[in-house]
Amino acid sequence: MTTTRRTAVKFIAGSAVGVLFTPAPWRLVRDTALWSENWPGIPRPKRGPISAKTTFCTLCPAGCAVRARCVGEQPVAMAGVNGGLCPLGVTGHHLPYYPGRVKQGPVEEARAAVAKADPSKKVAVLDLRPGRTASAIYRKAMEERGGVYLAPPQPGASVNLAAAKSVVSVGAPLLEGWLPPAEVFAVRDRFRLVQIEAELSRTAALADEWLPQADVAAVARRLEGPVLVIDRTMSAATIEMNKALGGWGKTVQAGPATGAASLASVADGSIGLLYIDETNPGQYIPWPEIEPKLAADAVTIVFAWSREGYGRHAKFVLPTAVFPEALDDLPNGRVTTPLMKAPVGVVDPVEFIAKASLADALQEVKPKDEAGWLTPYTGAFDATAAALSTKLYQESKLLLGPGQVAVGPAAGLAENDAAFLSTSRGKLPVRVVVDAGLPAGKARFLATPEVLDLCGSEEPRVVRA
Amino acid sequence: MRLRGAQGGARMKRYGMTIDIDRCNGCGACMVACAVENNIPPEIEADERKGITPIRVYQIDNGEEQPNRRTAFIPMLCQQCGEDTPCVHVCPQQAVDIDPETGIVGQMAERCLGCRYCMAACPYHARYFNWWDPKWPAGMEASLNPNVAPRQRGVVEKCNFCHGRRHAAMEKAAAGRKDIDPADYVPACAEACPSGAIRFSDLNAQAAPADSFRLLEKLGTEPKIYYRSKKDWVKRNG
Amino acid sequence: MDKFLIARGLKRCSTARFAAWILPWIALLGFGLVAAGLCLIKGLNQTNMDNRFAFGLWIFLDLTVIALGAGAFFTGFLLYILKLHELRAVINSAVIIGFTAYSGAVAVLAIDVGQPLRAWFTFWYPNVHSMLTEVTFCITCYLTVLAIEYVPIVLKNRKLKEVPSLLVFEFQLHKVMYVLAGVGTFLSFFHQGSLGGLYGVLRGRPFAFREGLFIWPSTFFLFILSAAAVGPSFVLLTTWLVEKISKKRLVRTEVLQLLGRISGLLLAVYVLAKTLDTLIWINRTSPSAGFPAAQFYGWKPFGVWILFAEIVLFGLLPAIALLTPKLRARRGLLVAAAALACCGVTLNRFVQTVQTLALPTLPFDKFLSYTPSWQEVGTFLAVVAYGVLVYSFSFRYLNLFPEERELKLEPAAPQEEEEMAYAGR
Repeated sequence: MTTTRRTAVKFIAGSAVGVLFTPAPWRLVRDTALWSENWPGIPRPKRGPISAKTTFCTLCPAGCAVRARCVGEQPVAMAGVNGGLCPLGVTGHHLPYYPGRVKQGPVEEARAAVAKADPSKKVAVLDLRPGRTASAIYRKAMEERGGVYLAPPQPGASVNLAAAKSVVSVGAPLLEGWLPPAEVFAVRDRFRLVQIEAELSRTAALADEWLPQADVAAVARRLEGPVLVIDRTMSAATIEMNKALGGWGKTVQAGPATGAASLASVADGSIGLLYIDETNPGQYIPWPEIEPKLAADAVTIVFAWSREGYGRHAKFVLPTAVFPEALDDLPNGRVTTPLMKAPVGVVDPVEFIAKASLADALQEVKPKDEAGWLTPYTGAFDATAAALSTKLYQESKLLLGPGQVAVGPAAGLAENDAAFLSTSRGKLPVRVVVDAGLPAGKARFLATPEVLDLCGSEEPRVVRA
Repeated sequence: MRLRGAQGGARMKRYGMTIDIDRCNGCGACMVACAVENNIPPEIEADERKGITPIRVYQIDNGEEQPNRRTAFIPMLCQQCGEDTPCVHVCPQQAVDIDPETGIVGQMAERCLGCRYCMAACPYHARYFNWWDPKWPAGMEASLNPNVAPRQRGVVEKCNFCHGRRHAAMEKAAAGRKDIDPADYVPACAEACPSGAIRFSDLNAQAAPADSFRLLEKLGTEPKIYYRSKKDWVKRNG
Repeated sequence: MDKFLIARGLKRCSTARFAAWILPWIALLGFGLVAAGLCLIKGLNQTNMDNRFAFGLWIFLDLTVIALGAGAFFTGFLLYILKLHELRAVINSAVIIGFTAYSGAVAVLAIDVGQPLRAWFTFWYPNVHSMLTEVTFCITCYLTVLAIEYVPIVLKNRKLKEVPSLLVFEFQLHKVMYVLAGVGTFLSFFHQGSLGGLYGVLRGRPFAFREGLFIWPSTFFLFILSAAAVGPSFVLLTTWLVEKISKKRLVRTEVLQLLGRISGLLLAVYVLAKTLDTLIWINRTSPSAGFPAAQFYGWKPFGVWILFAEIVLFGLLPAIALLTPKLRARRGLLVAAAALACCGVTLNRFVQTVQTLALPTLPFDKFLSYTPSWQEVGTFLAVVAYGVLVYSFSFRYLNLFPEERELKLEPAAPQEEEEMAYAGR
C-alpha cells in the first residue's frame, strides 16, 4: 500500500474522531475545572485538632472574656464569652502578623545604655496601662530606686450603668466603646439615654434623646432617677453633679487609684532614663508633653510591638509579645492565657525594668467580683494595626481611616479634597470626608500617635491644601 | 456541598435574621468577624466599590440638616430571597442554588464562571466579585479558618450564612443522629455583634416580629432578613 | 506582488499601499492584545468595573456589535428564504461582518469572565431558567454557522479554486446554504432575543424589568426587532464606507435602496413596539414594583432626553427617511439615516447595560458613575482592528461583491442622475 497525502489525512481525521471515544479529552476538559480551583499561590488553611481556649482580650482595659477557636496551636477565630466583641477583638489573633511588627531589637545595647545611665538623673517608667500586676511591680521598683512611676490621666470615676434609670451623657461616647460594648448593651433597655453633644455622633444617633446643647443640671432634674451624669473623662465637675444627684456609691464611685505621679509634678529635664511600656494600647500622652521632662542626653527605651507610637521618638525599641501571645492581667483579677508562643527575641518589660518575674506574680492574683462597676476607657482605638480594618475604612466608608478628616458641610470643603490638619507645631496632609452630622468648626479624625503629637492639647484646624 | 441525611428527617428550616436598626451602632465588628470566618483577605488595593464585604454596614439619614438630622446604621447582607430568587434564576451554570432544607441561598465558588450576571440581578448589592487574587500579610495565612476554602480571583461570593459553621454543627449532631443545636450554629456576624442587633434564627420555629419590615418588599423576592426600628423615618426609608 | 491571489478582473491597490493601510491596524491590534493580556494575567482589577458596575464597556459593546452584526443572519434570511435576489450582492460582506463581530464579541467575553477555563461549565451544567445559558448556547452554535458560511467565500479565492477537492467541497457546501441560513435565522432569533431578555428578566432592576409574553419579557422581542432593523442599515453603512475607501463602485443602487427600505420598515415597527412597551412600563410595570418611572430619569446625566433620543431622534426620524423614496434616493440622507439607526441601537444597548446598573436600587444607594479604563478600551479597539484586518484581507483576496466586476465594465453614469431616476420609478 502506498502512503499518500490522502492516507495521512484519513489517518488524522480518523484519530481525531476516535480519540473522542477515549476518556482522554474528557478528562482533560474536566481537569481544567480542577486547575481553575487550585492555582498556585492560593493559600490552603492548615488543618489540625480543633480546641477552644479562653482568655481575656487586652486590646483595651475592658478585658472582655474571649473564647478562641484554635487549630493546633493557632487561634483562627475569636468570640466573646459574654456577648459580642468589638472589631479589634474579633481580629486580635491577626496582630502577631501585623506587617509593621517589631520582632528584633537592640537588647544588649539597651542594657548597656541602662548600665551607663547618669545616676544623678531620675529613672522613670511610663506605664500606658496602669492597674495591672505589672504596674504594681513597676511602682515598687521605682520607689526602691527613687524613680518616678508615671501613667496617663485616668478617668475620674467608675460607673454602674445597671443602677441608673437615666443617663445624661455630655459628649461621652457611651455606645462606642467607652465601656465594654457587650456590657453596655446588656443593660441598654434599662435606662433612658440623653446625649448632649454638638456633633451627631454614633452615640447621639442611638440615644433616646439628642440635644446639640443643653443645661446639664436642668436635663438631669427632669429625668427619672437614679440619674447618672457622664462625660468623656469623668471630670471633677461631672462627679460633683453626680454627688448632688445622690449617685455617689450607687451609680458613681471613685475610679481605681493607680499610684502614678502626674507628668506635671516632674521637674523639667530631670529624667535621665525613661522606660515606656507600650505593650498594651492605652491613652497616648503626646510626646511634646513628655520631652521637656527629659534631660539632654536622656535614654528612652520603648517596649512595644509596633514602631508607630513612641517608637518614633525612642532611642531603643525593644520587641514585646502582642495580645494573643502575652501573659498579662487586667483589673479585677483577670489573668490572660497566652494562646500562642511569642517569637524568639521578644523582651519581657517587667523582667528588663524590674528584674522581676511577672509569671510568678500573676500566680498570686485572685479574681474579684466588680458587681457591675465599670471603668471607662478614654484612649483612642487605633485599628490600623489590624489588617482587616481595611474593611471598615477602605473597603467601605463606615469609619474614618488614617489620613482622613471629617468636616461638616459648613467648612466649605468637598469630598476627597486635599487638606491639612494644622496646629502651631506643624501640619499633616489629610483627605476630606464630608459628614453632615458635624456642626461648623468641628472636625473628626483618627487620633493616631502622629496626630496626637501634632495637636498636643490644641484643637487642630482643617485648612484647604 | 450538602451532607445528605445528616438531619435525619428533621423539620424543614427557614433560616433568617432579624436586625434591630435601633441597636446597631455602626461599629463594624460584624464586618470584620465575617472576613475572619470566611477567609477574606484585606484587599489593600481596593476601594469601597471593589472590596469584599459580604456583610456591610451603611449609614443612612433622614435627609434633613442639623438640628433635625437623624442618622442610623443598617447592616446589609445577602437577603436570602425565598421567592423568585433573582441570582438563582440568572446563573448560567447553576453556581448558586437555594437549599430546600434550610432556605439558604448558597453560592458555589468552584462552579462560578465569574460572568457577574448575578451581581447585575441582585438589587441589594449583596454580591461581591474577587477582583484580585487573595493575598494576606506574610504569615497571616497560618490563621485562616480551615472550614472555609479561600477563593481565587474571578469568582463571585456572598454571604452563605456561614455554611462552614453549619457543617460543623451538623457533624456534631450527626454523631448523636439528631437535629442541630441552635447554639452550635450562629453565623460569625451575629456572634460578634456587641449590641445584639443581629439575631439569627429559624423563621419556621420563631417568626419575625410583627413590626419588622423588609427591604424592597414590592419586588416580590421574599427576603428573609427582617429589619426593626421604632423610628418612623427609618421605616419610611425601607 | 500578490496579484496571483487577487480575483481575476478586479483591480486592487498595490501591495505597498495595502501594507500601509493595514500596518496601523496591526499596531492597534498589538496594543489591544497587550491590554487584553494584562486583564487575563493580572485579573479584572485592571478594569474600572466594580461591584456596582459588574458590567461595563465590554458588555455594552458586545451587545452593540452583535446587534450590528445581525445583518449576517437577516440578509441570509432575506436572500435564501425570502428569495430577495438583489441581496446576493452584499451577502458575502454581511457574512464576514457578522463573523468578525461575533468572533470578536466571543473573544472579549472570554476575557470578561473571571475564570475563562470554566467556560464549558455552562454547557455541562446549564440552567434552563437563565437567559445567559440560552445566549451562550445560541451564540456558540451561530458562530459555528457563520464560520461554515465564511468557508465558501474563502474557497472561492483565485488560488484556492485551483485545488479540485476544495472546489468540489465548496460546491457541496453551497447546496446546504439554505439550511445554514435557516438554522442561522432560527439561532439568531433566539440569541438576539435572549440578549434582550438578559435585562428584561431582572426583577431586581425595575428600570430594566419588563413583563411580556409567556416566559419572555418584551425586551426579548424588542431586541430581535431592533437587531433585524439595524442589520441591513449596518450592511448599507459598511458597503458605502468600503466604496468610499476603495474608491470603487461595489453594488448597484437598487441594492442599497432595498436595504434601506427593509431597514426603514422594521425600524418603524420597532419604534411602534418600543413606544407601546415604554408606555406600559411607565404606567404599569414600574409602579407595581414600587418605583415611579420618572424617578429613574431624575439622575443626571440620564434625563428624559435619552428616551427621546432613542425613540424619536434615532428611531422615528431615520425610519421616516428610509421609508420615503425621495429622501432615500439621496445617497447622503440614506447613509445618514442608516447611521442614525445604528446609533439608536447603540444607545439602546447602553441604556440596558450601563444605565441600568448606574441607577440606585436601594433607598440609601447613591448614583455612581463609571469610566472605562484604558485596558478596557484597548481590548475593544483590538476587536475593531481585528474586524478591519479580516475585512481588509477578505476584500482584497476574495470576491466579496459579485457585482463589482459588472459595475466596473458599465459606463459610469453620474451617481445623482441614476438615483433620481431610480426614485422616480
